[in-house]
Amino acid sequence: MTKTKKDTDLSLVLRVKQGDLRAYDLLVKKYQSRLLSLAYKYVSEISSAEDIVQESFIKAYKSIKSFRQDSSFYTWIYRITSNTAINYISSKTKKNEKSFSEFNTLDIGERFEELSTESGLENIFEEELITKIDNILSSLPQETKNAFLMREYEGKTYEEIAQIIDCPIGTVRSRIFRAREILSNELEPFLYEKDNKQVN
Amino acid sequence: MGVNRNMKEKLSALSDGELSDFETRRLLDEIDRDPELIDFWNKINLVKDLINKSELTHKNIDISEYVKNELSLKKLTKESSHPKQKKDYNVIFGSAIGGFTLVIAMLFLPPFQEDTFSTMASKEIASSIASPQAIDLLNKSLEGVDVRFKDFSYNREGKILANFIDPTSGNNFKISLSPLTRGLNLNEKSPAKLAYIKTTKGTYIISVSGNITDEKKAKILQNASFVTINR
Repeated sequence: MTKTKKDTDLSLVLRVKQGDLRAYDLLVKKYQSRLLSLAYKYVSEISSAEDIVQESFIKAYKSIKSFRQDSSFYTWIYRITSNTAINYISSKTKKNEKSFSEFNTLDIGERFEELSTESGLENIFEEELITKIDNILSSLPQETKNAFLMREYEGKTYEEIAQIIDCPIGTVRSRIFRAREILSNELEPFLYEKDNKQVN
Repeated sequence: MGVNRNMKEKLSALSDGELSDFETRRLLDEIDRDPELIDFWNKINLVKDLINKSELTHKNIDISEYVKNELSLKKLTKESSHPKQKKDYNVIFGSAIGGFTLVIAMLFLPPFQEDTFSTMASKEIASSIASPQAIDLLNKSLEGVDVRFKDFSYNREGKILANFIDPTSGNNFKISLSPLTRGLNLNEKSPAKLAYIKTTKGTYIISVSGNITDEKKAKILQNASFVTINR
């Protein structure tokens, strides 16, 4: 059996379809930061981005029964978030056409500078993080690293990895978990300390 | 491996879509008991995002609590506005069966007297048609039973008959209510199920007869008795 990436959230989605809010909570937690980044690209304002993502998740839950798994859950919620953001902008533009254009003409230079500074800092921070991740991966035992890389970078299923490295699926599962456990522990300061952008 | 690490390994597999439905269900139960697991879920997904070079500018914002609360609230509101009603009886159906229902409600009127019962029934039936309580009462006695209302009638002796159809089999059946002193003459091919409802106002018989299963008959009677007793 060859699994594709679209199956990744299937067991959670099936639980959600049976009304299990706990399963949906895991999906929200899994995708919220990616979707916040998406919404932010549309509205350039974090509180509006939050509103959009919240609304998108609520809409998605309400219509989860119509989700037929033709695409992945992430593709589906991504589309919902994009549409919600577009609707948000168009309704906001209609309501505040005047003030919106004033904002654009009067503050655009200042705002551009502010955004460039923010994203510049983020880029430096993320580059450091990527170096850190590379270092951690290099320090992992070879077989743990191989299983993890095949999963994360190549999107292979456990079964495929087991066949390639000729070991039981359970071993693949344990190795991938071990790699994640180490990465999570090592990266913890970066994951949760927004203001502390120093690499240890 | 400890229980917690074992669960974390399962979470890791879940994030890759490699956990069975059964294991997922058990893991969700476990998450309720151990908040550390949620923390681990957040971490492994952030690490995934980092590795996939997703933008993580807003990684410290957590909207999940808001979404969970909103959805819990909506679920609660929805449930309370549709309290376990299996059927949506239409207005005509509801009004018609209201007549029958009221007779059940009439158990609480003064004790049966031969010369006044039918008069009283006629009078009360008219006013009951618009009574939401009456409709509610019958709806409740049919709750959980898959039936469709056909018609109802009542006679001068105070006996009320409501006819229903079992949509799965297409068979007809009846629910009747009569005062105990009237006796019971169902004259049906299939045996009736009876319940005696004893109130301070007198004793009444409610019966269900016709071609429906004994289980459905018993369910209707049980519901009717329950509603009556709890009035």
